[in-house]
Amino acid sequence: MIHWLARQLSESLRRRLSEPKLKKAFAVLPDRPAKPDVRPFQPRSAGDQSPVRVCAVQAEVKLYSSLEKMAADIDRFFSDAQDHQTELICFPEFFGMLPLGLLPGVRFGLRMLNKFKKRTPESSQEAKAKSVRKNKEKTGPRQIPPLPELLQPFDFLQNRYTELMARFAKRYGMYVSCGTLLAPENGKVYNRHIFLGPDGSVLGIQDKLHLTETERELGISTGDALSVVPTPIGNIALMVCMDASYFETFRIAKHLGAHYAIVPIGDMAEFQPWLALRGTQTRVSETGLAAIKSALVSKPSFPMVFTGRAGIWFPLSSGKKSIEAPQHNSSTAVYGEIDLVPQHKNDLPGCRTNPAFDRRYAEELIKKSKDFTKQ
Amino acid sequence: MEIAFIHEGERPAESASVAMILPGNRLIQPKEHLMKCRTLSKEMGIPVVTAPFAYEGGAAMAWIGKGQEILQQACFPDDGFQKGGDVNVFDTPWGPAALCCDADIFQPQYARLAAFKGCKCLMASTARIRIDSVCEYMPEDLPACGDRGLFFVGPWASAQANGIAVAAAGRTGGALILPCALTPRGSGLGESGFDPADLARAHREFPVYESMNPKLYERYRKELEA
Repeated sequence: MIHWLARQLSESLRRRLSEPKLKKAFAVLPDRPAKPDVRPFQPRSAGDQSPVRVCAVQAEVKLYSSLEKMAADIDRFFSDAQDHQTELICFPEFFGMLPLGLLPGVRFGLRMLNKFKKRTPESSQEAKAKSVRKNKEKTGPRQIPPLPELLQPFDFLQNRYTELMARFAKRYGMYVSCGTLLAPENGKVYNRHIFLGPDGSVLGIQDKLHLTETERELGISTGDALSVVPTPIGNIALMVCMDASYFETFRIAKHLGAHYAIVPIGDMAEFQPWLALRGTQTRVSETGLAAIKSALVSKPSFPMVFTGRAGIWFPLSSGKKSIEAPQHNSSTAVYGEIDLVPQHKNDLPGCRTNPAFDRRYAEELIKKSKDFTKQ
Repeated sequence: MEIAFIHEGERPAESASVAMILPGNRLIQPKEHLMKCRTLSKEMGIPVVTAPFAYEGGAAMAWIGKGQEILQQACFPDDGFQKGGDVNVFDTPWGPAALCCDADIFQPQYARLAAFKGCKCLMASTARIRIDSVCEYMPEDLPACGDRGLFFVGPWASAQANGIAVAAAGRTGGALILPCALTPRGSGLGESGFDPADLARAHREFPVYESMNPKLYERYRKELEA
């Protein structure tokens, strides 16, 4: 039954994201006249080492009733970024899943969930959860098909979403970090970050390397390689959310020649500023790389919680002030410039080496991580 | 475990179970410092952690307890200094601990290796950071807070990235940093002592090791060693 439903929904979504529908959505996008004080976009010439103008999007997760409305919302981010002469725009984690909200079934389900959440007092929800747990103990866990199986019929989503964003990339001549989507492939599902050039071509793909507990439980698979994409706007390391909680990811990126990293996040928890601090912000100072963090957020009325603050982060030793969105639950965008020629002193506090120590550490890291992930 | 951060020559509160001597602006000469620490340890009946001192062309610090003296050489010292090659994790009445001398606290692999070796409490001492009223810190300050920022990049980040306690002694004071989940405000700050058994709760909140990616690390072993 559930497989049948997934197939029906996927067919419906396929129709809604078809080429003619995309064309139609773009045809109705408003023409925004260039502002007189904004110089027209010029592609960067080879060897140009001037700072890169970037935009970190903080996007609110919404249920769109039509592709036109969704495209118009995305267009506003691009258009504003253009006004800031942005060369690279970055969208958040799970942003590529937003087209699923076009399905009436999904919208209906989430609205019902929201109504239920509003009507049911906390204590009653707890009681219900308790009764579900009790029931589970009696009958065993409910047999829900694994996520890769359920998402397999949606394997076209990656192509269609990429096509959608490629049209924007071409329309505005920008590099685009599309954020991520769940991508089924060969019986597995990856949380996948897609990166496009200004001509809409795919320049890089990065599967999330460090999964949250929930993602592991859902059966999402990890990537095992880190993409550092060489472009005229610098060598860019692609990461996803919790990858930034591990200094190893940034350390590898640095040694692969990255100038900066893009970290789309979609944190499904209430905002806690201290917890937010333990990722990107720390990593940049340890490695001397800059980083762009885009964030998916939700309004309190949305049935799922997404929080975070988009920002552009610089190492402390650079003396450059990092920029962060002031709110964690509303749409906005953060703009800044990233230097391709490092401005910091060479002696970063976290960049010293000791070959003997580092060999011992790497050996232990591989051994222990194997032990822990086997458990 | 309650840690007192004191200047050389001061006496810790009676309630302290360990005393850490705050670092000087320059490496101190070991002979007199070690003698004073041994005396203090004997008189108070508690272990004393020394400030970083000059040691065989490099820097080191020591844990001085009853019948137990542990030396830890700095592994990432300034250029021209001798380097230690490993982190020593040793048993204490409060569980396995390790020392972290000067700039080593800013090298994330140092605390990681200590944690892999079972360390529950890393005792770090560096004059490079100033620690004052840490409870007043807010994450929003970080982009502009100079060497207070170093506090977050070094000791605070080491505690969070590995789910361990870090006792950090700086120029003007010290702080015990715990995984965020173990402190009431969620900041990891503001506690004077801790029960190592609580670290398991922090680990449940953020199971850092279970999300590691051995295939990634194997593939990029050369980069991780670089």
